[in-house]
Amino acid sequence: MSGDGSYAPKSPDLSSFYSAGPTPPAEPAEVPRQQELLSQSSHSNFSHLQQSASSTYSPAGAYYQQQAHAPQQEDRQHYGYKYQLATPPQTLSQARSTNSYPHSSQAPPPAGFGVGEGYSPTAQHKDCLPRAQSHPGPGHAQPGTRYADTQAPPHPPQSAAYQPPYRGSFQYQYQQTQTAHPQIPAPTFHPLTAAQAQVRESYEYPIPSAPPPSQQPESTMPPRRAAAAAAAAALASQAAGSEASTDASAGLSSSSSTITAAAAAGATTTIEPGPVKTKFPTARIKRIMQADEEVGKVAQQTPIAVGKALELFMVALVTRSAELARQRNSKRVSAQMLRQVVEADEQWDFLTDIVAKVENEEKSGKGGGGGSSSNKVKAESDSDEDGAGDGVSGGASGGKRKRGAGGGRKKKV
Amino acid sequence: MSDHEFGGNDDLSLPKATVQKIVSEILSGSSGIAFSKEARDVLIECCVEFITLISSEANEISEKEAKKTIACDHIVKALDQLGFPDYVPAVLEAAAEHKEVQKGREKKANKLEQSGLTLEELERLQQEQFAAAAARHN
Repeated sequence: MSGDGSYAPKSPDLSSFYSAGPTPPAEPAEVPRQQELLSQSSHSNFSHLQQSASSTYSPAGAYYQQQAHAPQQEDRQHYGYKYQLATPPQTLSQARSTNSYPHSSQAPPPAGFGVGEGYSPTAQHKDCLPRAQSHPGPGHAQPGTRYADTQAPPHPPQSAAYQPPYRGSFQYQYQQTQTAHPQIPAPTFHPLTAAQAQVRESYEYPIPSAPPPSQQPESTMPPRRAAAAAAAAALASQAAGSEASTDASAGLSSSSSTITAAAAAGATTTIEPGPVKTKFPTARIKRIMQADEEVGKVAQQTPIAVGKALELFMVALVTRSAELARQRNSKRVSAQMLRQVVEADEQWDFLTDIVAKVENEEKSGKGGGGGSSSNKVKAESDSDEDGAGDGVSGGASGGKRKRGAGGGRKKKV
Repeated sequence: MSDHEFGGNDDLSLPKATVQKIVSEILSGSSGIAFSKEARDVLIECCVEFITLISSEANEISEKEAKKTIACDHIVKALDQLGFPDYVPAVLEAAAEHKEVQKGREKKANKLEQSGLTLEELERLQQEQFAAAAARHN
């Protein structure tokens, strides 16, 4: 334990890892060799190695997960993360924050990096290159990170890591125990560090002496480890059990992470959408679809597909406008914000008409009084409904009118 | 199919409570931000517009393919063409999920075969139960 505390600050080779970060993953088989390389090359004692090794590994895991989760991420990215993804340097941290709990295992590495940076970037650079290439090996990283959730508790805290002969094989476990616990005390903690690490990554390259802020918790962790491991078990079981919960935590954590990212790197704030469990009534969706008289039969699954698309659409619209509200330190998303969001993206230009119409009323309503505007909006929608409800032709014409005015993007009327 | 189309009074917008619920679910991650009523109403309108947009585009696509029914595939294509290709995977997933659920339902619905009894046996069982009930009642 004491060794743990002392070594953490000294560990040298983490800087190298960062340079490695961007490089694509090489052969996974090399990971063990990689570690050997490490031990040979590093002039410091074992503790250094371990620290560095664990830290180097986790990025691999992160990278892998980024790849592995790509499909899922895609889904989520669409609504939430466009901003984030736009900025290339942040993608890693973003990826971490998206998949909530696998990333928890990546939380510590950032700490390690900081150390490395501060220490001696030049000495390690030679080693780091080969290592960097080999360590991202997805095959290896994957089991390690997966284990982090399920197996962290059973392992005695980090003892494995200290035994030199085992280092290669036990590295994962060590990392697991180490990484699992930060998640427990503060579930939202890891994304923060991830984000910070990310930020640091961008900075630290030129400035190797950047301060290693997050390493302290790690070195001081040991006493808490047992409890942490137990909590990790509970968390892991929960997380594994329900995707929804992961989503929720992802939402929580990434929102906080994005805040720090924004604060540190000046990125835009992002709001993570929570999981949507409520479904739209399919019958209603179908009716709305068929309000257009040109729309004939609709397959049974179609309203469900449309409902899902609608859900994604709403998530995108709501999260963006919530981001805007947050940027303005507002607790409430107003119709104006919604309008701005719609107008900001040409993807939604079919809504500009609706939004503009409402917004104008809002403005006039503002002159007269706040309350009237909402009434007007409601009246507007009501009249639409009435027109549509009167009959087929009424509904269809209502729909057409809107569409035509909305931009006429695709309808050849 | 089974829904009474364009039946009298029912409105062609989305239920406000449902929309509100979904919005708060979306915003559950970002603590403290709420949606104003006006914004929600605008959002509902936008949603209706979105549905209309998608369905009319899908309708066009289905017509081009000489299909009379708008299928999931058409929705996917419409999304793709209208600038929402990001939604496609999730939509497909939801549709597939629904298919699975339907399958499960069909299996469940087939109780007759699961009972392993013939019609005569079942009828006899029913009569026995009727008799027992009548006896209990009297």
